[in-house]
Amino acid sequence: MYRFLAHRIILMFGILAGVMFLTFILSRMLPGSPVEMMLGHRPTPEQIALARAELGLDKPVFIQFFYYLGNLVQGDWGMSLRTGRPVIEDLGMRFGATFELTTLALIIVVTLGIPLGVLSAVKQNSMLDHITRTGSIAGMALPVFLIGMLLQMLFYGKLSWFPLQGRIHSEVALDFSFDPITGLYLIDTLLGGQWVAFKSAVHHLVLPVASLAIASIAVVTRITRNTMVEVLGEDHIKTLRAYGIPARLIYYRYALKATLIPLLTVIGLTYGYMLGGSVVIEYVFDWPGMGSYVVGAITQSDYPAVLGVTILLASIYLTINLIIDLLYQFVDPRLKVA
Amino acid sequence: MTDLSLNQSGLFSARRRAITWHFIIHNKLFVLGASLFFTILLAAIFAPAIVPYDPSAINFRDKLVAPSLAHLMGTDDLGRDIFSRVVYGARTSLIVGCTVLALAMMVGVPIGLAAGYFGGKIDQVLMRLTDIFLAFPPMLLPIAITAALGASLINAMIALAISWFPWYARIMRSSVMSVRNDLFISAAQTMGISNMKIMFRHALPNSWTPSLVQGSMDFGYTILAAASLSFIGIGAKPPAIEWGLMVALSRSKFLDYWWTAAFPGLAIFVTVLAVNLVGDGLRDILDPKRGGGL
Amino acid sequence: MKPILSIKDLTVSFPKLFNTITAVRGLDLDLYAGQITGLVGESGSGKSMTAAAAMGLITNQAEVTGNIHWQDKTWAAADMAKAGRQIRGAGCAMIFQNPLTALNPFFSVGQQIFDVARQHRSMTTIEIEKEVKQCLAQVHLPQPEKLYTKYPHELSGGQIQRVVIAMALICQPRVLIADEPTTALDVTVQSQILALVRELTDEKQLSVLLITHDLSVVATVCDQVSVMYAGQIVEQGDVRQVIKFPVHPYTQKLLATVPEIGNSTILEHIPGQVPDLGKPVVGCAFKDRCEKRTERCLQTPTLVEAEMGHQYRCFHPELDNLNHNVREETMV
Repeated sequence: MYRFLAHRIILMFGILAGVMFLTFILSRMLPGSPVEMMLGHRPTPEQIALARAELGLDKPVFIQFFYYLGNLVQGDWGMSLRTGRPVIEDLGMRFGATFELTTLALIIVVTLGIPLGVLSAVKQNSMLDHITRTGSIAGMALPVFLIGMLLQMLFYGKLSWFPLQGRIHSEVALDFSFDPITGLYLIDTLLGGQWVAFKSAVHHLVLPVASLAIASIAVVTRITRNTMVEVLGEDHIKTLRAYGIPARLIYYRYALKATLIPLLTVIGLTYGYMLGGSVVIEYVFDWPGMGSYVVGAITQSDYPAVLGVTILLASIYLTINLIIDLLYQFVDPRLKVA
Repeated sequence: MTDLSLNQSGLFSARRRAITWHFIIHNKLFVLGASLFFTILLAAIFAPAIVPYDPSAINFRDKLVAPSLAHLMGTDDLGRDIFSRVVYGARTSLIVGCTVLALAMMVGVPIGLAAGYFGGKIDQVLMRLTDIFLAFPPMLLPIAITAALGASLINAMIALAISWFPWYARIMRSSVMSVRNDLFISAAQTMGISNMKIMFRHALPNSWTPSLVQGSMDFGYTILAAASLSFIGIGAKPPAIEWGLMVALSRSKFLDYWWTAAFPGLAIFVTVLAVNLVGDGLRDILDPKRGGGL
Repeated sequence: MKPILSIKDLTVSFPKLFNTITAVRGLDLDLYAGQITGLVGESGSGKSMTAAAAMGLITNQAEVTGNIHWQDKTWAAADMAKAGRQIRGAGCAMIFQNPLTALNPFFSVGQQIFDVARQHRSMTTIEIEKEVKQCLAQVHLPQPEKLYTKYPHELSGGQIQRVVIAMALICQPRVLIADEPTTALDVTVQSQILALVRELTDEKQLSVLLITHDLSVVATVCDQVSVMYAGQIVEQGDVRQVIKFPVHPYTQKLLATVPEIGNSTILEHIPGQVPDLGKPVVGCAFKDRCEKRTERCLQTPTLVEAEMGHQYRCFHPELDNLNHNVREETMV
């Protein structure tokens, strides 16, 4: 068991190293070589050579990579060319916003999508099933940004129920300030006892979270339904029926367990999808998270920032997948190694 | 009753009609998706003949006109007819989808084939390599690669293909591995046929179906991804006509002029929906449990 | 002796878009205590459907007619899906073909038997646990204590089949239906399982319906046999009688295909295929593959008794072997 864990962690670091190597290559491919950035325009050949030596660019690629790795590990992820701050600082400030957004969306997707999928499978071919399946197919065809904009059009433009963008009303944040302890506004405002600020934060969360959730609910519901239907067709369910086990019990005890286990992977994939989707949603709603950071970075050629975000998000995704693989060890008896 | 004997094997014979009707009833969604897709395809191919206006024609006098008889989908902030632009956008999206998938398959399938066929060390190495690409959350790698290559539709397509080929490598690998132990492969090996030949002449034709099915299901996602990249500004750039780009350009005005965002968005939705229905239907048709092949 | 389970005039059909597929046509079957009755036939003969219908396990798109007599009660076969839950597991238990998929992989073996017991018997948890282990011992599984917590993937096919039998026994059923229980097992394991079934039948006076396509299985362990073809029983009777003196041409051919039972040393086969069940059958269903076919076979033969308990459905029965008087049948 622990050998498995160790094996997987080593594997993960190996992949992470590969990821970093990939981003390293990308960074070397980026226009605007570091030299030009340092020296401005029209440097003389001697200046170039000097700068290259200083930056270690004259050394073989692998040595450069080791320097790069070393920097990463020590926390030096470069300086953002836009903000002038260390990338890692920027990321730290923006991490909470993205985390709040994606985690809330994930919770909604799981608590709504899975039961809906299960119900849809249990009541196959009923009205509910047809509505759910149609909804899923439609939801999967909608681009995330369109969902966001449609929600804005309806709930801000027409109904004025929710704000257009941002994370909190700036006046509210000033008048009712609170300490950013966790970086999550929902928690921090409560901890600071700021009820008005809390409400504002909630208001601002609704549309972005909904946009992110809608796209993924469609997928999760569909996969849940299909998995459950498949499970219900399997032989061991037939055995249960033959022994007179009531249908309710069959669905919610036996079939459900067999369905939820493969669903773990789907949840991991969904979170990954959301990490990617948050880029678009943050752009649409002007949400101050890592997604909008990276978009701004790209359009303004702030490559260290781009790479920083890439490495961070890839690492998070890898970790989540590792956790899920570990969970499988506990949950699926077929994998139990003595 | 005598008619039946004459019409047994004609093109519109009763038997053919019955079989077709049977197919339609049992695969309603597939037929719907295929019809939609076919319509979109035709529109894309014959775009110049269909559109009432030049999609790039700027006309400040008619800017931001609501949908009307003259402009079925209204005009954008530069006075360009949105309907014409949407139809031309179909060309872009369909080409993007095909290109990305073709590239991804051209790279991924041989890799998967080699990994599955040879197994052992080669398999391990290739799989670890694909693991690296699969470690990125979707969208992130295309974003990073496009940033490195520079923002353009072509670079976005390359980036998407690079992000996608590992999936096809994986799928190909597992279906090759299940075929590898079949008798006909052993027979070919015993006869001394070279490995390359076996791989491409024998293994490939018998294991490519899952890749095809996956491709048809991915087509829609590719279009969505390209549109999203264009939306955030790192894919297609003006004056290219792409639906995601059109939605992006409408951002400053869409709250008051809904049609500038709604119609391009709707176009994406309908196209991806059609493609998904076809992909799903194809998968069901090819499902061995339902009685297999076409 | 009264039968424990009696199926009368069972018909199972599946209406489809362009035609109706009839899997079982007017079938009568009786099961007696302490007897193993074999139900033999090729794939597609309708044997599994018969069992499924008797237990009410058929899915909704089927049309089922006929009656099921169970001890003193009578049910319409069409109602079995709902009403059958009373007898399923408790009075009548079923074992399936593929042991490896029969059990839920996510629950332990003991847990699954426990759940079945709890469904049908009112005992305390501790009592049920003890009972489960006893049943595991009854099917000759070693170390029931340890086995209780094991998962299906840790056991072999033969062991799982024994577990399934234990699960069947724990509800103390009167009737046991075994649908191809040994088809997926090795030959040596096969004979062990069959011996086990025989032992349990004798011990507990069960009525067993053993469905199989394998005549050697029937010859080994059955008391009675019913031969099915295209949804009907074409011959039935005491197993020794039927095997030694088969009357129906189909039975004769079937026996000839089994080298150990048949007398020929050449591998025989039956030419042709099972008729398309989607089309209505004219006269005798076997006529297209039968050498003895005549004009008369276009009429529908009924089940006729040759001698005590030995019945057949044919216009050209092979009666010479039988030593007793043949009663002439009446035409319908």
